[in-house]
Amino acid sequence: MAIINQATKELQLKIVYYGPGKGGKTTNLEQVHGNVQNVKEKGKLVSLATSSDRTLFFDFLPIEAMAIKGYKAKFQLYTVPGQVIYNTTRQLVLRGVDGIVFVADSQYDKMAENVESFQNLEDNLKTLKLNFAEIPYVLQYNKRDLASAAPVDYLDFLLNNREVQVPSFAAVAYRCEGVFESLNMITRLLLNKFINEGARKAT
Amino acid sequence: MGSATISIPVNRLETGMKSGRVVFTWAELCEWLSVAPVPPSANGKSSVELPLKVIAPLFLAIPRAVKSRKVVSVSENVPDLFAGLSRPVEPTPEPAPEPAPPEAPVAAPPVPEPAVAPDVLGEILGQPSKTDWTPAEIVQGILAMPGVAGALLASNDGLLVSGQMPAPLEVELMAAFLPQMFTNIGDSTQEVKLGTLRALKITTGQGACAIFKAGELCLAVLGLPGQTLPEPALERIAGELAQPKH
Repeated sequence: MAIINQATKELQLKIVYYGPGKGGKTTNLEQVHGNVQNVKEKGKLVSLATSSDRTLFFDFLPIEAMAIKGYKAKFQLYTVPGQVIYNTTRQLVLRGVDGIVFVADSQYDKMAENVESFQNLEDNLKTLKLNFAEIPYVLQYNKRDLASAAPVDYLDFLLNNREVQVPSFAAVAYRCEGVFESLNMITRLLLNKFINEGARKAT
Repeated sequence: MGSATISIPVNRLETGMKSGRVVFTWAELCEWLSVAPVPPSANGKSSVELPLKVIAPLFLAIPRAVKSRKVVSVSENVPDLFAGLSRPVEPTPEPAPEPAPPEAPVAAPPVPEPAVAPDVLGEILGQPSKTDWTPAEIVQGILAMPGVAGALLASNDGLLVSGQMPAPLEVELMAAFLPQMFTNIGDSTQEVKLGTLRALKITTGQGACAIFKAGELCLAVLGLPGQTLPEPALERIAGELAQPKH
């Protein structure tokens, strides 16, 4: 849930990168961390380790330190471990989530894992009593450079088939292609929600 | 049978397509074949997975009624915080080769294959004429070196690529912890201005263990109790594994 600090006029939002194991979630965070130039305004990439798995986390202030209705926006980006067995960790990381980037692996032989992971996301949100329909999310179809990549139409058929069509982005995360497009859209969706909810409260 | 075609009911196909796996029994497939009825087979209940690469384009080509759906939109007043950093996917000039199948019967993640200068690696591992090395072969080569009890290659994410360690050590557990060891101690070496950590040498009850950062991989080698590891050779192997792909 978004944290609004009225004293510092700061809006803190949590974005979780979700998806199957080895799909490129960590690469996304590494690229974001590596390409956001203003070192003072980005956090350190930190690895939070449990007994045998890892979750990456870092927070940072966007370069421009944009003011939205007088507020600074501060984003915390998390990844979850994609391996199926680490579901407890995924549930912990999802707590208080504001927005999600679902990183799918475009390879044909990963389609079942993509579907399974997406279903797992829905299940975990339900467990946490969060309504998926109310959480902004975007889809990122990673590894588009591989010859074994399935058509984007098929990925849309598999993953972007809910009542509301969400933004989706082709990506080659290790080349930073599509990484900031996805991040930019999820931050815009979150800010849009913040502005709209603020407007609703004001009326 | 060689010239037979198959007509799969769309509703049955759609179920599989939605799950990312299209699997039918052999008996079902026989029913849908265009040839004369296929006699019952003892393997009728066997599952057959159809290749998505073939099926998906055919499935997508089937005309379907398009439901009008609401599309998520954002007000134009909301700023693009990272617009200057966007880099859309560029068309790949030539299709990348299919990823090689995993060599070892372990949950090998699709990490980049270690790219090595064949002459150097071949020379170190005693096969100067060998030019292509798989991760499993590199591990086996290291295991054959004097003083070595175990070796493993892991991705920087902590996932096992290939490895073999003596019991009771678990290769997957070790692989998972290697990046943390590097990160934790690497932070300290930076803090005290010793510079970037490149290798860790640890001595424990199990013997000496050397861990090397090798580009996108970690190489860990366990020594036999009371024996010395061939560290210069291992450092060279790690150096070669760190080289960008040729």
